[in-house]
Amino acid sequence: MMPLKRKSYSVSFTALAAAFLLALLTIAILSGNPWKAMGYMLAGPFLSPMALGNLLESTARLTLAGIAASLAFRAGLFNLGGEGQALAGGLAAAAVALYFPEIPRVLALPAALAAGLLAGSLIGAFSGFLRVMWGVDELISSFLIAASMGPVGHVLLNNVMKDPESYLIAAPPLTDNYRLAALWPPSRLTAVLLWALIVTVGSFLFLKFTRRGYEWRLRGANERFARYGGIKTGSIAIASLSVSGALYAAAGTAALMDGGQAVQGFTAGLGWDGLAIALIAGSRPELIPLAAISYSWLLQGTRAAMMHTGFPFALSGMVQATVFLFVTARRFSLKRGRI
Amino acid sequence: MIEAIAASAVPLILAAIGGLISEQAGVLNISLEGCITSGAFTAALVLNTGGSIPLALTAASASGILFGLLLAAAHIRMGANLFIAGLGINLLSPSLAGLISNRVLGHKGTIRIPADMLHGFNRIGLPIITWLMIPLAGTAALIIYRSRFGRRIRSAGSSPAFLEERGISSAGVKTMALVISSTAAALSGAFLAFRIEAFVPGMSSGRGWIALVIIWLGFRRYYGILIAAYFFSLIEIISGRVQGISSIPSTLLLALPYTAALVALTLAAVGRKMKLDK
Repeated sequence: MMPLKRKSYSVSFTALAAAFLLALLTIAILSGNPWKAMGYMLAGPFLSPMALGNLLESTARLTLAGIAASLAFRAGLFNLGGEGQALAGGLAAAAVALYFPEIPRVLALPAALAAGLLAGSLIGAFSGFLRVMWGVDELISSFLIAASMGPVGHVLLNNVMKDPESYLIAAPPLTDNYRLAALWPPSRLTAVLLWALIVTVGSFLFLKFTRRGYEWRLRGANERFARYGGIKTGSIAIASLSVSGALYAAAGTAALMDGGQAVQGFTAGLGWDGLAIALIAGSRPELIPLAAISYSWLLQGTRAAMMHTGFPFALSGMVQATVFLFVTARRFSLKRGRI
Repeated sequence: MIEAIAASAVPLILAAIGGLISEQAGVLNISLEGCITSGAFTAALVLNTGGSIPLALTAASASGILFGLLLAAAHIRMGANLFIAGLGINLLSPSLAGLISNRVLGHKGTIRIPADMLHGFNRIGLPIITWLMIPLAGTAALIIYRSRFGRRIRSAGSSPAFLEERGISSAGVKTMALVISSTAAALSGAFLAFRIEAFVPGMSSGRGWIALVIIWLGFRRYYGILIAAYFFSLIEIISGRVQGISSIPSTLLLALPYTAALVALTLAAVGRKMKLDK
């Protein structure tokens, strides 16, 4: 993986603005009501307590995913398996909820979360293991594992874990002891906000002030130098991919617990969104929440604009794509330049 | 059986040759997956709305050229990270296809190609193309490794300064390599849609990624690429047959190409490591 160049935040802003403009233009042109669309895009997430609560919850979930991607980046690794790790985490938590429906709440939530984290971290660690043992590029291996997870998840939700009373491809709804309390009903806001806060502060402190964190950053800056300096770069590769997978899984588990049910596609997009947010924030944990809230604003605003202008198409793919295309750019001109 | 394997290898070989050209120019094209989707979609849309087969192939190539230029603009002109911009195209292509389909046809699902349009072509044209892949791969290797153009491509990857000294723009050569590879992938998508006689969202199902794995597994040689491509299409055919006779949920078999790619990649890496340790 070629190392990412030093980050310029005006580029991040430009990439977000470009994504915003593209989404806006598309909706405006295709819905025939540009002013209304623009109004809902900008203000949609703030118009009701419910919309605002949902914005915060989605920010919290995406913060977890963004930090997941960042920690791998900072250690010089590229975890492209976020989609699969989030799905595996959510499904593992859902499986605990399905097979032990009666255990008391104080045990139920930690048990489900632990199962989720374990699933994600094992998948992440496996890519790290392949890399350290035989030099298999973690970027390709994590992607291939994630891509195989999609169909597996579909089969689990459609056969093994399927709710017999539902026509959806879904597991049964969670029993109450597995649901996170709604902090601001009717919005989805839950204690995931607190998880995100802890993870953000924790990873900031870890990278900045601990010896291990320093070693991770050194590996990320220059792997060979770190290795010659006696740092165990191999074990860092496994550890950071494992933590990255676990945090993606936490985001997937959050999507399960605030939504209340594992439905086909319930974690979809978390992997790509996490990568996009990490890139916007230059992989700095302290900036991830800011990137996450701008990005969620963009996504939720787009959704609000689409709902109110009767434009029947999800634009989240276009938003992700625009961010990916431009977020690492170093200049915004088509003039010929050096590579 | 052999015919079927060779036919389903066509998209893989085309995309892998394109990928090889970009890899040699030092700009490995990650967006093959997205370009396969765009080629398949464009070709099916053109045929579905009454266009002819040559028009469909032209339109598919045009979509590849556009995506190749977009990627080159982001990477070469704006200095964006090639890999991440390529992922952007992979996300953009299916999303754009859905949007256009929604606009033109009023839905974003499967686009059928009228059977009579493809009847003659699938009977005569596709078998010819199927077997043309073997000489094509050889020719591509000759061009890459033996011609002046190929030398420029390879120098753009290994020593761009050398090209610049001779007054050749390495940025231009890299742009060319990206455009060629995206176009090859788009054409491979068009042939995929012809064979299935439809565009189905997600139909590329990882072929672009597997093409990248194939380049690596085939040691960047044309015969290696051919063998690896036939191996993956054998797996595809087997999984298709198993679907018919076993009780394994058919969705699960969609994971098989990815898993096979991972296993093959790992085994090759283990083999290389053992050879190095000896």
